[in-house]
Amino acid sequence: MQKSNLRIIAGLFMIPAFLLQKNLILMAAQVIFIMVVAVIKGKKVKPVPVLVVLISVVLMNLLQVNGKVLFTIGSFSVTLGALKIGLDKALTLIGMLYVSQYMVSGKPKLPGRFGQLLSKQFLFFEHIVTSWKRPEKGKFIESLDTVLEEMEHIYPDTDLSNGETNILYVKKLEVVTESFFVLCMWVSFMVGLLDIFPWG
Amino acid sequence: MTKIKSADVFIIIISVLLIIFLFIRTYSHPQDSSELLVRVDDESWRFTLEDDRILHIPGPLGETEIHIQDGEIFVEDSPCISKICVAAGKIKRPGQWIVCLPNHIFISIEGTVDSGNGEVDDIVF
Amino acid sequence: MILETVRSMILSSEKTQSVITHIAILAAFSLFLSTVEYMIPKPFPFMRIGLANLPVIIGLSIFTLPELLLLTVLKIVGQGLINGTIFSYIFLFSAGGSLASMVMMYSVYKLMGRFTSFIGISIAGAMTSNAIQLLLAQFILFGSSIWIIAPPFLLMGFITSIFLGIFANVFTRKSRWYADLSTRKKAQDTPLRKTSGTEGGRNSHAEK
Repeated sequence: MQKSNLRIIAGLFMIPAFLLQKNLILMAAQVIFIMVVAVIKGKKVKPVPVLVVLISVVLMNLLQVNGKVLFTIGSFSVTLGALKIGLDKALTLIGMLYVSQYMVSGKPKLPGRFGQLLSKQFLFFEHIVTSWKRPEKGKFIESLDTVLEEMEHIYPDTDLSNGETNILYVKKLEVVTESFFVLCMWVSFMVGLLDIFPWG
Repeated sequence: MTKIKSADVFIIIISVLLIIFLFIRTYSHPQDSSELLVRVDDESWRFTLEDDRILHIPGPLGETEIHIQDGEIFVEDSPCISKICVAAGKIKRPGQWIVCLPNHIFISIEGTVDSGNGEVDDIVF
Repeated sequence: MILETVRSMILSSEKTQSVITHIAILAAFSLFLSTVEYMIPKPFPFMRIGLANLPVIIGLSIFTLPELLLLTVLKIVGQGLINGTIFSYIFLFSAGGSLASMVMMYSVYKLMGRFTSFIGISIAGAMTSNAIQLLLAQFILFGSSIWIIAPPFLLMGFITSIFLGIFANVFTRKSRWYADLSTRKKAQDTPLRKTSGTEGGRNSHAEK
């Protein structure tokens, strides 16, 4: 199996264990776990957007009252049931986001001609990022033109598969580590089935 | 510097109207969502009437079973002796209530009454 | 079904190799713009300015519908991969919005293209994209309480799309690259017309 595709497959196996998780506490644990894994694999976690998503999804769902009233602010009641639903949705959103981050961290290469096109796209993207200089006041579009024309000439329409001669294949150790991560998610899922923890 | 053409203006007008309409509709519409409020001693529960549900509310005597069905509320069963609460039937409008005194359960519907839909509930002579 | 169209398009692309390159270039610009947008701090991570739609808008006047579709798919998948959102709900929202917006903009361009500049097209696209995103968010994640933020969300989209449209207008007028591209594209699309034109000329000449 190609190295770049290992995490995609591992991630796919993780997804059911996460989506089917019954218990909120364990779900939160899974989310934290996958965030840590993503960070280990080099992805950044920005706490502020994560918190904003968490709070906004929960707040939106609290608007639909449902369940035991925990406390009241003015005329607005915070209910337990709505809180659970809100947390469930927020955690699902954040968790899936970081599963995606993990899956992509191995720089996957899609097969086929579409995959080649995608690689071309990323090649151009890197060119734009590295070689576009801050334009002067009146010449914004001209600076864009420069970059655009550069890309046309520097990268003729050659088949990009030449660059793929160094296909790396997975080592056993990598398969073991990624499988371990998948296993952790599944253990968490199965513990959730046991109804040991509250908030299930 | 940049040309605006006729259909641009058309699209702009439609979009602005749409947005204004949405603003009015969302923010000035009275919240006509009624809520079910169940109180037991100093605890309370709230539910929307939109989703059908079966609730088991715990009181000193045991659990009282309350149903939300098609926007109506009734007590299906209760651990009290006289079962007046069960016989009380269905409630569905703000202000109506059902009580199970032995089990300390007070059930009511809260919400804004749409003055346009106000009906006469009862006429007492 | 989308995949089939895209695949058949790429397979039959022997002649249009350089068009594919141009699609990739614009798609790459989309990625760049979406990265720029990600870095701009916003109150809600969901509030998107839609900068990444600019290349699609520009592409309307150069590409055919299958080519536009390819551009949109590349843009969506590229964004998903780079932002690492590819298996999350966010991806679903943005994919739905981008596709719907592209279809709407193409329709407006085809039907009313003579009477509208890129401003109107951009607005139509942005409103469609936001509406679809709201609908998807309602059914998948938030429930009907999402509509509380709908008005400011649409308002933001409306305002930013006006600026995008203005920029597209200016760009298509001033850019050398764009001018080259569109003349090249027109030459590619009308080889047959040229020959029949000369024949007609010869005929009318002979009649005289």
